[in-house]
Amino acid sequence: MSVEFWIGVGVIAGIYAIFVLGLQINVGFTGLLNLGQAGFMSIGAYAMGMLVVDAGWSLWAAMPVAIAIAVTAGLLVGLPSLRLRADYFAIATIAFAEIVRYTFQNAGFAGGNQGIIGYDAEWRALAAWLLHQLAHLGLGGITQLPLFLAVWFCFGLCLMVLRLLAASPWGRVLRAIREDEDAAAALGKNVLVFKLQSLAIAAALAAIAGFFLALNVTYLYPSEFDPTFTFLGYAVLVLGGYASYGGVALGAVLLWSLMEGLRFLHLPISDGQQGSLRFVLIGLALILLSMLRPQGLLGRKAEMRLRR
Amino acid sequence: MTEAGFAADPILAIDDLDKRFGGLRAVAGASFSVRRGSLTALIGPNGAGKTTLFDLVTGFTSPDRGTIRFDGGAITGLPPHRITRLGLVRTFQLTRVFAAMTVLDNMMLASPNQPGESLWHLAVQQQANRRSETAVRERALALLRRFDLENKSADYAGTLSGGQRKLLELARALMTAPRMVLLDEPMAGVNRVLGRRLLDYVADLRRTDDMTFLFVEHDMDVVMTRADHVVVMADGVVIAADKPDVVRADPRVITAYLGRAPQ
Repeated sequence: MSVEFWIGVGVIAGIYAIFVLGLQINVGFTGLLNLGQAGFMSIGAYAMGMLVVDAGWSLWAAMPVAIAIAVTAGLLVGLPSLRLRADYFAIATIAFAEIVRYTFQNAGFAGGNQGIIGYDAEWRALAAWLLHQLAHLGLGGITQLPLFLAVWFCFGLCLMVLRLLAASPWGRVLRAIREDEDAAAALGKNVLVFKLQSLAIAAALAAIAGFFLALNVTYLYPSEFDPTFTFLGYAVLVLGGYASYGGVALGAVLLWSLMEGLRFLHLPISDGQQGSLRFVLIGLALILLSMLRPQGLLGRKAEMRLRR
Repeated sequence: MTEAGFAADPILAIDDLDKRFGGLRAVAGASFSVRRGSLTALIGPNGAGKTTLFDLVTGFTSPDRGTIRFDGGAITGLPPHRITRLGLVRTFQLTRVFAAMTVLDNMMLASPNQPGESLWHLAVQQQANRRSETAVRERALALLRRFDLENKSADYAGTLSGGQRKLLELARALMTAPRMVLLDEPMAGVNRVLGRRLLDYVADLRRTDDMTFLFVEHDMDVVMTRADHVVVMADGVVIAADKPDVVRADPRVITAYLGRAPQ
């Protein structure tokens, strides 16, 4: 169990944490069951990859534009589906994510199953420079450290902004919609507009998580973005706590420490079996958690009980 | 149907409203108007179409036919939030407080035109937002004080009793700065003392703020002693609309409530 290994786990946990911040604003603060978060992530990552590789853009210019594209996708998905009842919205978003995945898998422009490679030169140059600086602190040997720092710095920024938003009158309207959207409408709030904004922010966070995922794996291929990503995201959310942004970080770190830590168990079974056993154990842990602490680690019990 | 004086200066005018749900004609050509500044009761047996009428007036369902005018302008088919912003707000038969939000947050939410509800303003005008929050909080606390809920302001609304929720819902509706309030059974589940206080307060508001109230109520004592006009619905139509004592003596009303006397 080297430091390098755990820094790598930390990178993945950080990517999930940013991804789940988006789920949290939808599920925990607006009451929207968004099951298409992986779709927004792949649109963000692929848009960035294609702008750099196919269009020759700088990575730093491609990122904000890719966020804008993911946000646009969020608005296009949300506009028709957010008028539907909550459960239909959930189905519409999962359908959307699958459409996106199959499109990237089969469309020539996205590289199909070969994926996209070669968009990260500028990042690698920056990482090398960072690593050089870190060497002064004696940390030069940990190649994943620059990405780790970038991911968690970015998470911290997003967390700060989301907390400010949650405490604002805007965040108050979101919570009211979560509690009872008809009552919010009866008090003069344009519910659809607030839901669209919530979904757009989730899509932006998914795109940012997608950038870091792309930089971590160094090439993009469609199966990275299958619905499992969203579902593990929900496991992080449930673990950390409903309607808690801080819980997202805790949930992500815990889940991925468990996932990766269980590799080091030496059991008399095959590697494949042990891989599956990890998911069984994590599933059991989640069931236990929902029985013993349904609000999650940092969720609020009082609020949980008041919800029907 | 409309008596002299009743339709003079109407704030709400409903004309030939029709709403079907499948084979059921819940509202079947209802027409009446509500005078500005009045306290008008809407009564009728169960299934008369009172709540559907409220839903139609406040935009929660749209009519198949007919028009609704509020303060001179047509509001037929507008979405609920637009109607509320025009100054016509409602409460619900079964209270709908935001359970996992504090009483104070329930109140502050309802205030109109808050700069902090726009992401753009939050980014560029934080001072305007802070000023507005202070003003909104003061207004909310003042209203809570009048409803005897001030000491509950930090509690979750979901922990309030049924009667307190009714009070909170009315207070919250008043936060929208309405000109007219529709109350769907405001007294149901509220104890008599609290209910009376609620009505006293409503009477106050009519005098001081020139507000208009239309309320659905089943307690005939309350209707006859408090309302200055009574609209009676049965089977989706308005069968009488007049002063309480006139309505009480109307044979059509008695028939609607008690059935026809055997010949």
